Amino acid sequence: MKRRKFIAYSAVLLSSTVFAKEAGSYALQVSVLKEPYQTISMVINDLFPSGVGMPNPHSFNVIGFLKAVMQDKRVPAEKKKILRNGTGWINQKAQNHYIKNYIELSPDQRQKILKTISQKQWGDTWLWYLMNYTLEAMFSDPVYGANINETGWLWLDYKPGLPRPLKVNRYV
Amino acid sequence: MYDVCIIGSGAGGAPIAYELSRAGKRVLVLEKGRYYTEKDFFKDELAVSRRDIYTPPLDEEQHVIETQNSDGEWEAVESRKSGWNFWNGSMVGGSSNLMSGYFHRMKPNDFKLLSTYGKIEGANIVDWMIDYKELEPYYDKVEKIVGVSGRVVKHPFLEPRSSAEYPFKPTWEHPISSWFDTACQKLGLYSIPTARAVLPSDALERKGCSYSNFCGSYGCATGAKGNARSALLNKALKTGNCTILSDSFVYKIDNDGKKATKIHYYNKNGRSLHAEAKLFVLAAQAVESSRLLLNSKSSRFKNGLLNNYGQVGKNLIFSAGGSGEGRLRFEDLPKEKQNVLLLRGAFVNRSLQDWYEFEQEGKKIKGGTIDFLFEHANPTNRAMGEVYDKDLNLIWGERLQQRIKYAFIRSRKFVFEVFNDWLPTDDCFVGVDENVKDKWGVPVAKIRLNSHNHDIEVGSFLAQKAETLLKEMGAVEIRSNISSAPPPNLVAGGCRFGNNEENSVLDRNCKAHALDNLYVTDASFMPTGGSVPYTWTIYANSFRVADKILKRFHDKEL
Repeated sequence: MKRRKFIAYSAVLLSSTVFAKEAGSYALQVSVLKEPYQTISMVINDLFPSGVGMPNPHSFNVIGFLKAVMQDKRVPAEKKKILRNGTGWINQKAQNHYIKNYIELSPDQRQKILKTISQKQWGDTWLWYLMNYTLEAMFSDPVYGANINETGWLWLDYKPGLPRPLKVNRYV
Repeated sequence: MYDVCIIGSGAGGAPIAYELSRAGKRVLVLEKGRYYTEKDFFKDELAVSRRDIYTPPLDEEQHVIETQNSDGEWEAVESRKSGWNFWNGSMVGGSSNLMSGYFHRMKPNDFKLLSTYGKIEGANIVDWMIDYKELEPYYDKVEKIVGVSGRVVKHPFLEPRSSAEYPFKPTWEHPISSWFDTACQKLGLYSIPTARAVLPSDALERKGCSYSNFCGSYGCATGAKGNARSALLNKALKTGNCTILSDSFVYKIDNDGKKATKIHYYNKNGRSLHAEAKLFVLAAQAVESSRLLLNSKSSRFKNGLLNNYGQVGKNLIFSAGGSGEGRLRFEDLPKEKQNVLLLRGAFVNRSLQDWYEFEQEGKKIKGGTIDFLFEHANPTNRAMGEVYDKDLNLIWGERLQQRIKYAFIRSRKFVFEVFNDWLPTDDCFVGVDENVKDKWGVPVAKIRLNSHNHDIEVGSFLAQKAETLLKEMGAVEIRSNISSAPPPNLVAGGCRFGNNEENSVLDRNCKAHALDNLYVTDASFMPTGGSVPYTWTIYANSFRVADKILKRFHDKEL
């Protein structure tokens, strides 16, 4: 997918999403994707494609959530650094193999790159973090601005514990 | 001046506050953490379990953790960098707010590990200063005052009890408990209904359990859980004799050579204040109690308070063991069992103690306890449990989604936790790192970690037995993980009680050998930990010490 086309694709996803207007100050609406989130967005699409009913991660504001994670004092700086640097590493790998950035590769090429980096320690760690925070976004209480309309819970018939949080808890 | 000043408001401090304030003494409790109550507790996985809301941010307050590398060298890493969090519940009531409430008493032989099972090379095992008989009335007291629910059944390792039954009936049990009982019958094992510090219905001026399906790691929104705040401090406050100051970090204890005289603390605004009392009780949890003593240097105690013989911080112990799991699948179950497998909210309440003691090559070996439960309800952790295949390769795409869906909708993991003795050794202790300070500029605790190989051997033996039980229940994908990794929430030792100052910090009543009015009543006093979670024993011992202190007030010694 060409870069320009991808941006348009992202915009469709974002505009079709019903963002929580009362998202508090955690995951906010994302209007334009810039790096590293363009690459991250594509990788998350490839890790969690439409398949067996799982909502598309962009429908539960995964990028907005990841941006909040990057600002979260409770997330160790080392994790944020890996999250941020991973896009450079995967693009370097894509360049080495195909002389293109990750988002410009075909779906098959992207899967090959994912397979290749998952065998590396840094790649395994980076992908694990992306999965971890995507699933956090999907399962967090909707007051955090992700898991919009509880779609993540509904997919798995998951019943949250009671009482549920009334507001974003800022932790500190 | 207060009669009693207590540092720490958890299971070690709260019984003292409860008993002394009810006896008319003026009590001050200083708690480093916040003052949360039932209305502040929500089932918020992100805040509670993913961002550790109930412990300090590691970039403000941390520990330094020392572990041995493969070359045998000790390497120290700040937890701010590693993310290895050794804090527990930092709030009024302490980590008892967050416990699962599995309540087991220690057995009579746990009090005399050395004389019963003999010396083990490389381990600093000693017998306790007291025996089970002396602590039993206080275990009984905890059942009635804190509130313990359960059902007594006879089995070879049942402790002698002064009350025939628990004062509260068991919490609502999941149907899988009867499957467990059947499997035990087939294998000739004793299925033990696990007692819980959870009230099944309204009692003791508290609400009963709401069966919300989240217990461990979460604060209780009804007060059913027997945490120190709900069960004890609330009643201490009602006497009008007890003051609780939250957000108050005690960083130094002064002394005049014979007595502790004053404590210094920082309040929420960072202002340094002090408090005076006739008697001081330290109960800040094992690591922080030792840290405070080591940071309280004076002309009489140049190496830290009570530390003239280098005993403070030594022989730190944890609960050894680990955990395991198996998956119960819909396709292996008849329809009627499928329907109940996913039932939420009810407790499993089952454990095994058949191997609390066992024989190997003609020698009597101390074993432990195996608790059984469902996988924790936290959804993110459950889903993340599916991201690796059996060869530890990351998986993604439709395959991962299928696995997650299957895990939530068509199967359920049944898990176990093994508790056995973490033997005390010379290389497991608490010190302070003078070069690493917290946000107040106070040196942080440095924790050296080491476990004895014997701990792993016993834990592995018990895990193998637990796996056999899971197999009998029809579980698949059975696996266990017994390791030397310490559970930070099950920590004890550092200020052993013993005969004299040369080899211990406290006397049999948990009073400092070196000072006349300083007591330590968290798990620091424990020379060995038994093969059970510690909370019930901490509560019971603290009630015991409260009686000793009350007698001294009565005898006008203070």
